[in-house]
Amino acid sequence: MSDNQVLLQTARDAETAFAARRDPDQLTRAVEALENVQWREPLHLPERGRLRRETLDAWLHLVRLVDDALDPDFDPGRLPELAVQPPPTRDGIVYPPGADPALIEDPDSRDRYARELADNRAYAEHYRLQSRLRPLEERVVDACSAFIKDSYRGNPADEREAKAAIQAVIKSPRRRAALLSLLASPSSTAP
Amino acid sequence: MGSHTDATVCRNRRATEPLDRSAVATANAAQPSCSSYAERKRWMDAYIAAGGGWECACPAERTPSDPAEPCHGGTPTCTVTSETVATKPTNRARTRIGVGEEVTLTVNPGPATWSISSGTGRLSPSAGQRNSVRYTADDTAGNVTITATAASGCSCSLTLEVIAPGSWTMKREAGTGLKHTHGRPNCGWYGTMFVHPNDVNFYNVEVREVDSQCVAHGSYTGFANLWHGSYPPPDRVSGWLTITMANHTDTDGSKVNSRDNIYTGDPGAAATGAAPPFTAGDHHFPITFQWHVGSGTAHNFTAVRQEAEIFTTGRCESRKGGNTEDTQHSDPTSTR
Repeated sequence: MSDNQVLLQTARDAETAFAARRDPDQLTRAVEALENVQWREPLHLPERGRLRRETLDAWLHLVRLVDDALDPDFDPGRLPELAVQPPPTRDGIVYPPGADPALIEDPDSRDRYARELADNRAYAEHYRLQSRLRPLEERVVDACSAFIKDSYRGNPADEREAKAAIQAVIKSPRRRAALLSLLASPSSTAP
Repeated sequence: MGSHTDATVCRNRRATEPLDRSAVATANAAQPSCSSYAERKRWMDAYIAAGGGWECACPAERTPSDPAEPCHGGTPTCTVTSETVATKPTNRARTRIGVGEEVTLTVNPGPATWSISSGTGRLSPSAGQRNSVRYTADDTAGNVTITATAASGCSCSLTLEVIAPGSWTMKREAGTGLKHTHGRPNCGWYGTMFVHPNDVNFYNVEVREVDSQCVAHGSYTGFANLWHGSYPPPDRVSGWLTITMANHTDTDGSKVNSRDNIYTGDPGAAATGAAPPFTAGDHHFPITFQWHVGSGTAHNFTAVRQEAEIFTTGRCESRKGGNTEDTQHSDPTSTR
């Protein structure tokens, strides 16, 4: 396997790992692998064309992965709390936030508090992922756009290939339009 | 073209068009990549040996160590400049950066091959000739030198100073009040955490709390050994909390994306009495926060106490991360 194929496989593996574990570091790993692919390296033209197309597909799948993971309703101003306030006990004791639910005698209050703790933990995880995805979205899209412009813009046949790939992979209409706008030749309309 | 006809003498051979497909296949098999002079030379050797046509494109005898633009007296003839990805602090040309920070490096004249000549971190792209690359610091503090080597053989470097988080502090969240129950010695507030030093941006750092148990005296004795977060065993740590690049300020540093719910608790009238003089008491949690970059190793901050104290007069204090809030038992009931 050539160095370029190893890099493409690294990117695909990282994309699979992100889809499974939602670890944003995998997106960075994929970006850094794809940035190192040198599709102009092979002197054999058909091989060069295949490598460029595979690299484009990997970039587009990465963009789609990020799009799918982004929560459009995410509110960065709604911060997760580090601890949750427990309800008072029957004796009028109020424990500090984060105390063990087992200290609450009333079963309803205890269950409600335990649920609030669990909900808070889940929201904190969601917030973490979404806040880390925002800067990564910018990096992934910028790098993918740079690749498209550098590798496909200018030649109508090349642009048709890129447009067809964008339309096949990218689901978000807004994102698709933005990427297609990078390929401006009127004669390169995708079939 | 040059006059060389001996393939072992010419230092800049070029395959002539049209390429010999059979020789290309042989050369590709012998040398699949062409990212360095040595690899390109091996490919051409194989291509010529397989019968491929060639010409000498070099105007004069030259080797990679005999560059066209000499580095006079060893003085670099290129310059590396840097720009932080973070727009805060506003000086983006700073070479002092936080762990995990990213910097765009540009060489002039370019392009060049890039390498980390001392220190740690990552360059991306890390291969090929580039005008610009992105450096990402890892979690190791110290100096990092990055070198750009131009095709001419000339090289130039830039040294970055990578800084680890040194401390954290807390402030009452802007626009929030105090939590208090009229007649009771209790006090609560929402805290915002900041990571320092302030002259770098820690947006690629995450922090979390390691659970701790309450040390209590006096009227707070009933709180002894309570867990601070009741985080799930066996790790007993909170989830990781992020830092957003844009939330950095020169005054406060890197703001953590969390609202800390800080409250003294109330041990009840049976422990404190119902009116002054109240039974005094104090408690604290020895709080250890940790930081990491990406999914890297967790590093401890110095432990900081989260403290609460009841005074006989009915005053109650809550202290954490350098911030103190207080109420009097007679203050009206309030929420945050």
